[in-house]
Amino acid sequence: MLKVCNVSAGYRKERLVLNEVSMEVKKGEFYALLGPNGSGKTTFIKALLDPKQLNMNGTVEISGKEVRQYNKEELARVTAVLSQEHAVSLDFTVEQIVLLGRYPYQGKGLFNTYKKEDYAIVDECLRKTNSLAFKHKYFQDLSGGEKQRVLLAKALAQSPQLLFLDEPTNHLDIKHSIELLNLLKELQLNNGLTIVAILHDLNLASLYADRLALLKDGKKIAEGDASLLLNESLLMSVYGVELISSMHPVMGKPQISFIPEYVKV
Amino acid sequence: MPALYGGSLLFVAVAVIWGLISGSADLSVQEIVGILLKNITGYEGFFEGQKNIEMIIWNIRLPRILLALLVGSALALAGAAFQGLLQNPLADPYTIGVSSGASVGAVIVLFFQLEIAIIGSYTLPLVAILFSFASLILVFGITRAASKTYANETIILSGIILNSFIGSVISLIIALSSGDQMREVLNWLMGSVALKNWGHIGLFFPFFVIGAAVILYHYRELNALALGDEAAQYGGMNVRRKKLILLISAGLLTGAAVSVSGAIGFVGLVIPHLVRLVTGADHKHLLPLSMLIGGGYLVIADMVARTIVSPQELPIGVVTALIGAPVFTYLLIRERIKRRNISC
Repeated sequence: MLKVCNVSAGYRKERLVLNEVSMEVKKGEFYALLGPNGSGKTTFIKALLDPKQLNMNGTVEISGKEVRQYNKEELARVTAVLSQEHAVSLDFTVEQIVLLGRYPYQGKGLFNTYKKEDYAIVDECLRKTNSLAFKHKYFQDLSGGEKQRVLLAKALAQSPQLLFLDEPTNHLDIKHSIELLNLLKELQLNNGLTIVAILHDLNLASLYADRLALLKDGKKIAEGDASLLLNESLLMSVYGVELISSMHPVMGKPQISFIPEYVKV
Repeated sequence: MPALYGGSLLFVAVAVIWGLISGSADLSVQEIVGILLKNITGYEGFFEGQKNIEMIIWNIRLPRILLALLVGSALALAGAAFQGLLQNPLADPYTIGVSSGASVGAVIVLFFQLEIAIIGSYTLPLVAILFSFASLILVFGITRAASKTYANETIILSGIILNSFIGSVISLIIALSSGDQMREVLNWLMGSVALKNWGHIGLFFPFFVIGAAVILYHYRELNALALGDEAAQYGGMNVRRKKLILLISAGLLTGAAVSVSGAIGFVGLVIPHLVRLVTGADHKHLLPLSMLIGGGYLVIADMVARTIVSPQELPIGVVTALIGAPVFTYLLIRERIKRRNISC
């Protein structure tokens, strides 16, 4: 589904934010990108989807086609991005926001407007994300968790095969984070959606992702399934904090316990 | 929605007819319609009254009213476009500084009493348009140098810088002016559609048609920008190109409007908000309805400006805010109360 080969990128020529990153994500996989702030995770998504904006080298194939061969609309019909919550300054309703996901499917003319089918897809996506109830509310009036679900519905309305997530649970409490991740996992398992997610929470990543990659200073330094998180010394060197890895009592997956500095082990 | 469009068209029609009737020469609707038909069709039988009355209606009142209509709709449309484009409810047509450009052009013409022989009295609007183009190029230059992606904050900041720089040039010219000149300059700056003829309409019309067509065509793009430039980009839009197209067309529209009528305030900022209270933020309806309401509103404001203390005239920019601010405040508060009750 996604094939990244030796991608380097930076905002200015002399400073690379990404350095020779390669990876392959299979169809229907939940792939998590981990790493401390400034390790190049967000730049990674930018470099893949909007290579012209950055000085990007290397090749990226999405669905078997080099990303630079796609035009903008085509690319938006194959991939969608859900990022951290964004403020909307004008009074758009939830339905109008989700309809934006149908933008890459519209014709060009002045009167070429949304069709019945588009509205049906909007409803379907709202239902999938449990947000049909606030279809006619103003987006501004929703809570953080509701907003993220609506934005997920908008991303799904693009009918993507590949969904990128940029710290989607950043502003959410634990209940809403889990809720959102459950939803995403369902979409992965039931609809075969491929997910590439930037996550901050190592424990959640361990529980939800099939494979993980660790980025540091723009380089991919490790990749593998959740057992990667058992490598305590690797994690300590990447994040620079004391930690212990142990098994989740029910899931049998690694969970990280952090040790604060005032405790001398 | 059809009712909204019907109502808005009716509002425009009433404003125009009311504007034609009001004034020192007392005329009936019938006579006015007769004069219009006579001049449009060329058939003498429609109006057989006094020649000078026909002159007043056809050569003085009508161009003035049409210009108010066009300028009002242009400013409201440009305002709606800038608010959507820059994702900022405080943006208005004057945010990016093209209006200041037009103003400084006009003020220079007034100060130096310039008159280019062939174009005569059109020297001022033409010079103003050229200056507004120059300021548009300048604001792009500043933005481009600071931000490759035309980030909204950078555009707004460049506009503020340009506005304040040109503002001080205008102040300087005013300070150097004689009393009469100063009065003339200030009058122009406050905005007016008085003493305008068909030539001014001809000058403005091409900009109006092209600018409005381009903006109306891009209603989807303005909607898609709601979630920010980056999300619009990932949603399938060529953000940099579309923003450039929209900024240039809204900028030219504003520059040309200010060149013929001065920087009339309030319409471009508030009419889009007013319309949004009814239609919501969807630009598909917001843009055309803002044009209708903005146009009709400026016709009424001009009518009030020239009749309320006649034979004296008030500056139209004073009237737009004097009537508009209380009305808008009332509607805004009512809407917020309604919304609070729903969400509880």
